[in-house]
This record gives sequence, structure tokens and C-alpha cells, in this order.
Amino acid sequence: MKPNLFMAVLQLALLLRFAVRRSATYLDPGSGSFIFQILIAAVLGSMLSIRIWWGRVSGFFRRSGTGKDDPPGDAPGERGSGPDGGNGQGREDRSD
Amino acid sequence: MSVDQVPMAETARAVKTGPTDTRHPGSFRDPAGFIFERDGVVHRQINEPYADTYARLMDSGLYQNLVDAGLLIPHVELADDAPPAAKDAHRVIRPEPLGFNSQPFEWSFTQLRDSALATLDIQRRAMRFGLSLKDASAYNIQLHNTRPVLIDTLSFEIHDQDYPWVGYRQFCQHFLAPLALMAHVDVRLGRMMESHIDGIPIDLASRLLPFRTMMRFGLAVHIHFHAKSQRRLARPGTDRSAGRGRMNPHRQLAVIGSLESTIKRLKWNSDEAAWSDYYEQDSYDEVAFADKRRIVGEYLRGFAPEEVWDIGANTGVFSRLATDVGARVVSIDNDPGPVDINYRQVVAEGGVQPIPDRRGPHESEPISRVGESGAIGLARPGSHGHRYGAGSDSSSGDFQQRAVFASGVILCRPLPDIDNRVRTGRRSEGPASAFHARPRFPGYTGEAFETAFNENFQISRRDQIKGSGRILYLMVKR
Repeated sequence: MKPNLFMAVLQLALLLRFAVRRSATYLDPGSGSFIFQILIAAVLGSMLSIRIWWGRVSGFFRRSGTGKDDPPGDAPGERGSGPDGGNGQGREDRSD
Repeated sequence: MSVDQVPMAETARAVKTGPTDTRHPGSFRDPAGFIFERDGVVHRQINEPYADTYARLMDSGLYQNLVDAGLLIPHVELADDAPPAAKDAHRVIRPEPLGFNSQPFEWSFTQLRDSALATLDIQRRAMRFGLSLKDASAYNIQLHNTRPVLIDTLSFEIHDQDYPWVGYRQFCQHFLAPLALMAHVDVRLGRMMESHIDGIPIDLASRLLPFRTMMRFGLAVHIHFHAKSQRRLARPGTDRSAGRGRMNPHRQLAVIGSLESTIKRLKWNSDEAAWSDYYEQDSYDEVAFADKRRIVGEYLRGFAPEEVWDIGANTGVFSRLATDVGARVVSIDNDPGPVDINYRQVVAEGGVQPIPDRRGPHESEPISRVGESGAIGLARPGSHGHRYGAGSDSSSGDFQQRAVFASGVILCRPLPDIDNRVRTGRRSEGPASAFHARPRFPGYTGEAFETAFNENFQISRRDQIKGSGRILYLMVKR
């Protein structure tokens, strides 16, 4: 099971819509990106935590059910740091 | 800032800093240091304010980690008593010379994508060593021995783990936005990087991308929501230090991982490009193609060039013949499709460095480099017929002017009525009306072709390709 992406998008959209007031003066896209990164980092960080947690839980039950250890890195949370499956190996994993 | 952020033509305005030192004009903004040439070799001065960060880079193990992974250009430190290029010097380093400089807007989709992934990989490794990329410019990356490598050794800063990544916006503009446009709209939009030197603005990318990309989580977040946020969240005089304490390494890695997976999911089917099947289509039958390979191979073995520029290289079939004789080879083509195919083969096999989307060498970068190293400028029918002939209203004059410094050229005399792909290429170039009303090669004859090169080159060999009306030439500089 994957984290609910729809809820994540909705959460982010609501955050942008209500938590922030519109500026009508000089626009600095740099400052916008800066604050935006803080907002999405909270959402993406939560998704990553859920993924890691879910990977551990499902891995525990899989091991209990089969009585065998999963191969290393099989659990979603162990694949790397990317909330969408990034495996943290960028340079080596270019095949896709 | 890298030396490659400045057009070649501007090198003429480089600043003399010493008897033999020439400071690069594009290297003036960074207080950490600058690039200069000493006796024709690129050096980098590290200024005193950057001393601590440089020491951290070297002593933490990050430098060796990145060099071992092929992600950072190696360098040697000059002796302490080596003369600096300017005051305020902490140290002078000499990076490993690059074989060939190319620009991000010239890269094919996969070349830009690999460069983006390399940048994220560098950032992730840097964070582990307590450092961070202070910018994420595509111009800090070069395809060195085909693979993307960071050439700006001074791109790092001490990492504040409670602080957002300062290169985030630049990464989106320099990598994610052009890649998304290339994948979802048109691969030629990568050329927008040429007119937007600091990357494609996020709001512009958001407008150009089709609505369906809103359904892609990564693109929805990093492009579409990002664009809206830039307007909504922008405030005059934002105190960025207010962001401290609202990030942590876990969240930073989450952002990096999200960017990485978004990039990896972008696809472009280069096999659809018009020239990708050039050899398999109607230009050469099997006998003619085999004979052309045989003749070109003979020319190359006889000439034994040190460096070869294969102009109009397509997927690099003839470039590989030059590699076989030990030459350094640069494959140049103005169609991103076959270049992408070529690049992916090179990554698997090594040897040739394909550079896409150039109309031959830049004006200020004639084939003089080739001449200095004693190489052949290798050209195919499409290259001079399509690019140098039709594109400049002369059958071969433009090419021969540019090739004047080459020590030799291999050419195939264009036969416009046979080479159907020349016609296809011309159609794809845009407004056809006045262009097509003119004859394709005004004043062109076989004699005129040879005469055009006669001033600078002597015909060493002339061979007709079996089963084809084309004639191959090996011309050697007089």
C-alpha cells in the first residue's frame, strides 16, 4: 500500500490556499521558492516517515507469516530516502 | 560560477591579471574564487574567505568520495609559493582539463537527465559530509569523458541542517523544468535554456506544460504548486533566516528524494525522432553502407588522427570507426534523437562523446582546435548538405571556411536528389514558403564542390561508394 498521494496534494493545496496571504507588492520568486520548500518539506517528510513506518510494519508481518527473512532492501522504507521511491543511488540507477 | 557560463565569444574580453594569467570574464561574481588561464591551462584561485569551506571539502573526505564516484572534477593544488593570479589568494588549484566544453541547452534529454541526477547525488553525498551545494546550476556540470561531472569545486558551503536547500529553485529551473517540457511538450524546448540563462522560470514552465501533468505528483508539487507559491508567498525583503529551525535532515532528504524520483519518471522516446533510423531507411542500402564504412575506415587508419569531430554524426556509427583507430572523438549533431541514442550507447560502451544540437562548431570556435591537434573533421552528407549547404545558401563554402584550420577532412559529396533526408530536415526547420521556393543547392555542381575546398585542401583520395552515386573524399590541408 502506498501513502495516499491525493491526501498529500490536498493537504498542500489547502496549506497554500489558506495559510498564506497574497502579496501585491514586489515579487521575489526566490523568497517564494524558499518558503515553499519549507512547506513541501513538511509534507514530503511526513510521507517519507509513513512509508518507512509502513515498510517496517509490513516487513514484520511478512517475516512472521513466512518465517523467512526478506532480502535486504525489500521493504519500501529501506529502499532509500525518496518518498516516491528514490533510492538514493542516483548515479548507479540510471536504467529507467 | 563556471567558465562555461559565458559564451565563447566573450573570452576575448578576458582580463589580464599577470604576465601569463588571463582571468575569465564570467568568473567575477563569486567571492570564493575565480577561474583564470595560465599558459593556456585553466586554473582556479581560491580566495581567503573560502579557505575554511575548502578545507572542509578536502579534509572531510567529500572531495575524495566525489572524485572516486566520478562526480567531481579532480584537481591538483599548486605549491604554496606558486604565484597567485590576484590578491586575497588562499590557494591555486589546477583542475583536470576538460576534453570538450558543451552547454546544457545543447544536451539531449538523457544527457540533461543524467546531469540532474548527478547534481542530486552530489547534494546527498555532500549532506553526509556536512556540506551542501550552494547552487544547482546546470552550467556547473560538464560531460567529461561522457559522464556528468561537477566542474565548480567552489560550489559547496557548510551545511546548515536546519535550513532549506538554497539550490532548490535553481535546480527546478535548470533541470526539472526543461526536462518536464522536453518530456511532455516537445524535446526541442530544451533550447529555451539558451535564452533563459538562469533556467526556465517555474511559472513559465507551469503555463507551458499540459494540464495532465497536474496528475503527476512530482510535477504538480515542484512545478505547478511551486509556480503558484512563488506569487503567493513572495514578500519583499523576506528574512530567510526565519526559515531556520523549520527543516531537518529528514525533510531535506525527502525533498531531494522527491526531486530524484520525479526526474526518473520523466521519459522521452527518442526513437521517434526523424533521423534516428537514417541508416535503416532509404539513404543507403546494405552494400553501399558497408562500402562507405570500409572506405572511411581506410581513410582514418591512413590519417591516424588524434582527434576527430564527427559533424552530423547521427547515431555515431562513423564516430566509432574513429574511436577504433585511437582518436578522441566528439560527435556533433543537431537532432536530439540520434544523439540521445548515441549517448546511451556510449554510456554502455564508452569512447565517443556525442554533443547534440549544434550547427557545427560555434562561430568563435572554429575547427582550429582540431587543427592544433592534427585531426580530421569528419562530415557526412547531411552535415554539409543540410547544415552548411542549405542552411547558408552555399553548397560547401561555409563548411570549408570553418574547416580551414583542420588538418584534414573526410567529406561525402552531397547528392541532393538522392539524399531524401536532406529534404525532411529542411521541412522540419520551419517556415517553408520562401525557403523552399529557392533551389536547394544554387550553383551546385561536383566541380564547384571540389573547387570550394581547393584553396585550403588537397584531395588525397576520392572513392565512389558502391551502389550509391555518392563520392567520398579524404582532403588534407595544404
